[in-house]
Order: sequence, then C-alpha cells, then structure tokens
Amino acid sequence: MKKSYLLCSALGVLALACGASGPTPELMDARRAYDQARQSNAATYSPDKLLTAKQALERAEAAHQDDAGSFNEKSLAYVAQRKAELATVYGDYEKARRDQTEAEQAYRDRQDQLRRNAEQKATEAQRSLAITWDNLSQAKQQLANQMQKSEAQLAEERAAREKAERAAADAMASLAKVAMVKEESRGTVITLSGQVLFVTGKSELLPIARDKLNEVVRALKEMGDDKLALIEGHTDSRGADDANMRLSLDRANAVKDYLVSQGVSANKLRAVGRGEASPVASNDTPEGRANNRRVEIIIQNTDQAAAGMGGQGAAQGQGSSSNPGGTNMGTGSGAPGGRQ
Amino acid sequence: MLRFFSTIAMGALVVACGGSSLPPPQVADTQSSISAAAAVGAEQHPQAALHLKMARDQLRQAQALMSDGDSDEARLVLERAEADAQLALMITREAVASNNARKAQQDVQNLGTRTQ
Repeated sequence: MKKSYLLCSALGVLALACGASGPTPELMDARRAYDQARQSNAATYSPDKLLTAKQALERAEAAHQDDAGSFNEKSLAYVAQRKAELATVYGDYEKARRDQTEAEQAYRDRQDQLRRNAEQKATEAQRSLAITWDNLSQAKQQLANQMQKSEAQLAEERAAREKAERAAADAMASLAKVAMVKEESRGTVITLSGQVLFVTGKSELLPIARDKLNEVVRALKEMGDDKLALIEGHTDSRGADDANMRLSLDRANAVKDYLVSQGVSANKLRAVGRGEASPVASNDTPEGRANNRRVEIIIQNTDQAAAGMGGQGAAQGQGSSSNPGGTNMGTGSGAPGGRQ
Repeated sequence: MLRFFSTIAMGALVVACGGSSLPPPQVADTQSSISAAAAVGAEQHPQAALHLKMARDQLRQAQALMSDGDSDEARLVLERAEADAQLALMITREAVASNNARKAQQDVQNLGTRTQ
C-alpha cells in the first residue's frame, strides 16, 4: 500500500517534470537546424557562422532551462534556428564562390593550354611549310643542275660526234689523194690501182703500197667499229682465168693481211678474188687494162654487210657465167683469210 | 522624426538603467539589414522573400511593442527580425553565387567539348 503510493507520487513528479521541461517546437526546430548546419558545408567553409549558431542555440537552451516554454525561449530558439540556417547557407555561399574561382581558374588554364596548342600547331605548320619549301627549292636546283648537265653532256656528245665526223672526213679526204673513193649502193668503194700496189703478176705488196694502205687503215679506224670491209681483187683479161682468179685472191689477201697487221680487226675484213670477171674499163687498151687491175675495198655498215654480202656474192656468181668457180672462191675466202 | 527618436533614446536610457532596454541602434541595424537584402534582390527569390517579409513584419511588431512600452519583448522580436533579414540577404547572395559557379563550370565544360 505504501509502495504503490510512492510509485504513484514518483510517476506524478516525472509527469510534472516532463510537462515542465519539454522543449518548445521552436527549440526542437532550432536543434534540428543546427544538426543540419553541422553536417553542411558550414563545417568546412564557415565555421565561424556555425559557432555563432551554436552560441545562439546555447542561449535558447539556457532560456529553456531557465523558464521552459517562455516567450524568451521561443524567441531565442527562433533566432537560433535562423542562425543555424544562415550558417548552412553561408557555407553553401562560400563553397559556390570557391567553385566559381576554381572554375574560372580552370577556364583560364584551359584557354592558355588551347592557345599554346594552337601556337604549337602554327609553329609546326610553319616549320613543315619551310621544310616543304626547302625540298621544293632543292628539287628545283637539282632539276636545273640536271638540265645544265644534260645540256653540257649533249653539247659534249655533239662536239665528240662532230670531231669524229671531221676526223672521218679528214681521213677520207687524205685517202682520196691516194685512191679513188666512190659512194655506191654497196657502200664506200676505195679503188687502189694494181700497179701501185704490186709488181706485175705477183701478190707481194710494194713498199709504196704500204703508205697508201696506211691511209685506208686510218679511214677504216675513223669510220668506227661497226664497219665491215670487203676486199676484192681484180685482174685484166690477159692470162688464164684460173691464174687470174688465184692472183686476184692472193692480192686481196695480201691487202687484208697488211690491214690486220696495222691493227684492223680480222673478223671485220673479208678478202675475195674476182679475177677478170668485173672489169671497170675495156680490156682492149693498155689504159683500160691498167684500170681493171685493181683492188677494191668496199666499206659497209654492219647491218648492210650481214644482209648484203651473201646477196652480193650470189649476184657475183650469177653475173660471172664464164667463171663458175667465182661463188666458190667468194664463199671460200673466209678460210683463206687466215692463210699465210 | 528626430523628436520620435530622441524620445525613444530617452526612454531607452531610462529603461536601460532598469536592466531591460531597446537601444535604437538595433532598430537602425535591422532596417539596414532589410534594405541590404532588398537591394540584392531578395524579393525575386521565394525563400528569401519569405524571410524578408518576416523581418519586416517583426520589425513593425517590435516597433509596436516599443510604443506599448514592452521593451523586453520588443528586443526579442527585433532580434528575430534581424535574424530573418540576415538570412534573406544570405539566401539571395548564395543563389547568385551558385548560379555564377554553375555558369563558370559550364563555361569550362563548353571549352572542353569545343576542343575535343
């Protein structure tokens, strides 16, 4: 009975206490606002405002302790709530300003970087343009050099050719002084009188013949490597055909051997005996016979010679009906060429 | 006007000696806080406008209380008016600063995407 009374009175005191010290809605709002402020940007960016809010809340709490539910408590709580909200907003404000400053700095940095990139690109473009220009100039210079060189080469070649032609012409001119030179369809025909070259009826060269043949050698050399020469021996009509044929071949060979001894390539030369088959004058007069006793050196172009020699040989063979051995002698003369 | 203030000052001086007073500088402070909030455009921001209105209402209320001679209550109400005026000012300034920061960040982003 006593126990339950005590319990009742304890509950009553508690109820009374709770009723007396229960915070006003304003104070509860202020506490909540301050808790929010502590967790906001204010903690970092506006701690002084947060401290002010804390002090305001402490004043409200003190007022609550002093006189719970009073107008004083409510007003101070109201003010504390506003101060807490102010701290929160101030924190946001400071953060926004910092964000703005950072963004503006980032903007400037980025702009600087873009400008540097652009400048670098421009520099590179300029450099590559300079290189291209350089290359172009070099190419132009090279081309000019080449043109100059090729012009010089052409001039040199032309000069060399002219010199060679002049030398050949000189050689032919001096040859013309010692022998008769004619341009015919079969080539350049050099005719040397038999009297000048040989003792009558023999095939040994006279000493004076060598001077004349030296001019032939010079002409052959000047005319170039591509020339082939056919050496034909001819006699007059006196004496037996066989003997004349042999003599004409021997004489042609003697001329050939001499030319070879003077440095003309043997395989560019061919010696044939025509005997009395191809007279150039009448055999009825001493003058005519003297003209018919001769050696002809026919200088041909290589291609002309390759095609023409066989044909000429054949024509010769057909033309000299009185001498069926002509063809044989003609074709067989390659072998006697190396004979001594 | 001058007379009104001098009367208040006299009254305040008298009440200050009694331990509870409402010094006129506080009124002036709150008035200038309200002016500052209005000057930065607090009326254009809904939440700031609300606090600005509260500040004005409570300033009037405080002045009424003063006229009634209820200095203690007037001082408390004036304090509330001051807190609302400061909050209105700060909310407005924060809105402007946030907007500027957003713009600056957008500018950086635009500059970034322009060059990619």
